[in-house]
Amino acid sequence: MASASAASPLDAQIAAALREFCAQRYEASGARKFGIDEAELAGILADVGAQCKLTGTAVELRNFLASLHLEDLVLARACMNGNESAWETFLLRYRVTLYESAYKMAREECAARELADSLYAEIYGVDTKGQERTSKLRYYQGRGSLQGWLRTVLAQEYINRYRSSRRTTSLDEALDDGRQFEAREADVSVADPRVEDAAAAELAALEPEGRFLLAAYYLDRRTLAEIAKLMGVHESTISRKLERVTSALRKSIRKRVIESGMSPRQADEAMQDVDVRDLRIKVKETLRQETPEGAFYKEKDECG
Amino acid sequence: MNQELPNPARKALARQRGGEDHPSPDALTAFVERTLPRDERDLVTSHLALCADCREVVFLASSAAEDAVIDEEELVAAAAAREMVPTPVYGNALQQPVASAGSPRRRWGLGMGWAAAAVVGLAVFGVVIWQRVSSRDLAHLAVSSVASSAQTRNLTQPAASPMSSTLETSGKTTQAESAIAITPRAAVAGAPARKATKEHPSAPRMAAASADESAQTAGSVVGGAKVAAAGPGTNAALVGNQADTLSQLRPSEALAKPALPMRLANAARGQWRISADGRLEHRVAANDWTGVLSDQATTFRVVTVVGNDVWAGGSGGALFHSSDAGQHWSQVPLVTSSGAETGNIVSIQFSDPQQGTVITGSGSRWSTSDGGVTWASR
Repeated sequence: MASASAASPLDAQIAAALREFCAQRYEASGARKFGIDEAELAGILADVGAQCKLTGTAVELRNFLASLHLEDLVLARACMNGNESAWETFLLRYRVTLYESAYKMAREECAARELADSLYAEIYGVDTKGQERTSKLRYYQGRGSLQGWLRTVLAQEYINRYRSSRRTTSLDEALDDGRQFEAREADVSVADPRVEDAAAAELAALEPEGRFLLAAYYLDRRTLAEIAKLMGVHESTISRKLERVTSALRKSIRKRVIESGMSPRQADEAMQDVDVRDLRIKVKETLRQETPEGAFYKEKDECG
Repeated sequence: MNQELPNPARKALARQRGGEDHPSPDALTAFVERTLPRDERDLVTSHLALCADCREVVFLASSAAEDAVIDEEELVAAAAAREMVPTPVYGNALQQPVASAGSPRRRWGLGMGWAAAAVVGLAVFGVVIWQRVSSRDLAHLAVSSVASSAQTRNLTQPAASPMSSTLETSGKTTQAESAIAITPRAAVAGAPARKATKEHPSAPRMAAASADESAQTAGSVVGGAKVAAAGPGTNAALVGNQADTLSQLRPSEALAKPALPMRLANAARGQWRISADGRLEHRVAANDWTGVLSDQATTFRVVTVVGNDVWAGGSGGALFHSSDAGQHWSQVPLVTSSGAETGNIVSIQFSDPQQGTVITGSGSRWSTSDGGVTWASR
């Protein structure tokens, strides 16, 4: 295990803060039961600090260290070092979760088991070449819970596998499996580059959360419930935010386009008539025929 | 959502591309768990707005976390019931106002208030009655009570013994002197053991009616709650984990479910755990844990409570079931035509008393839809 001084570029003041933190949290971290002493724990934390490219004051470092999932981090590093007791604890805590998460992602027993097993092999550090074991756990930094990290890594693995398997599946096979393909969006470019520029500029000026919401909802077609769950708020909050962002974006693009020399009517058309999905055909209003008042009376009068 | 995104904006959004530097799985995990500092969260959010791959990862990870949230809530329920303090300790990054007007916690507090008022009322009523009844009458009542209790035992114990025929355990008896019996399902011809025990649900209860248990069962509870899931070597960590889990929980997640008071009551009623050396234990008093099924060679790993049904599983595919809150037990064989289950049972989950799933360490998954009478391997 790398020592604090060797693995980290942290200066003496920060190293002192690190040692102090280790002394305070050593017992609670559970490091002792996995045979990790205080110096090694300090080395682990220094390693994490280096991986996170941590810079700043000792106070910031302390805040960072306090935010770490220390017990999970210790367990992960003990597993990485091949500690049997740590592996037993790891399996007991996370093996089932791993399989269940894989099942939720793959939605098929065999694929889920294969997915979980492959990740488990990587976590265990099985090397196909028979060389030194390199466990994937070494990349765990304790920023989130170990359980959450496993789910994230599993999701990455699943997406990689799904993409690679999709590349090797023929179109006929996919159709036989009942897969349906969306029609590709028509690549209709906006006639006036001023609109494109305005849209890109206003989009870039949005808050990160606003852009994320727009991308998740309009591009990925995520439901309000999915977004709300990820963001930890109620669906109605997401709905309101989306309404607000979309409305503001529409107005700001229109304003910018008008400022660039378009007439308001041209700006409205440029915002609407590019894609049929944006056309709002008001059937009732379109079909309504304006009949001048008194027309029938006139006709009646004529008959009479 | 009534607003539609203008098409130029949609296209501009689609044209955006994330950089090569994707956030680490750690950062994405912390984003999903909402533990990132504000500035870093904004950075990750900015990247997510541009990178469809990372968005897919976080949504997938977030959707897979559903059950874990439920389990954490169960742990909160069990821990809060044990301490009778339903106020978790929160991590510094997750500090939020806990209770608001009309929140479940407030309702829980109101419920406790009514319960306390009822208890005080009953106590006053009892004192008044006690003062009115003469000491002679009390003595008479006590004698008749003992006699009726003895009579009840004479009536109930023979009724229980045929059910608990072959494998009477010598498990340490509880204060209520309740006998714990095991009936292997294979030994009961014709009818499943679960059915047999359910035919006499009141018999062991009458025998075991102690003040302690009646205090625990006061306020009938419908529904179930997972109480503990652990294994050898981690029981000490289980209690610690509960504290940790509490510290990691967002208050809204922990207390927002309206069913929490119900779960708390149920968790208070059934106190089960797996000891550090893999024994199944039942709490009969404040700090009095009694070993259950202690004559079995099984190393237990998990115990689950669903209403009156208690399920415990462990090494060698051993699955035990009690339909009367742990008074009588039967061993449930997990067998298919290809053979019996030999893996260690590491998870038992019941969505209701009928629908359940058992998972072994080797990844086998068994499910039942008839309350555990039959099990199918998937």
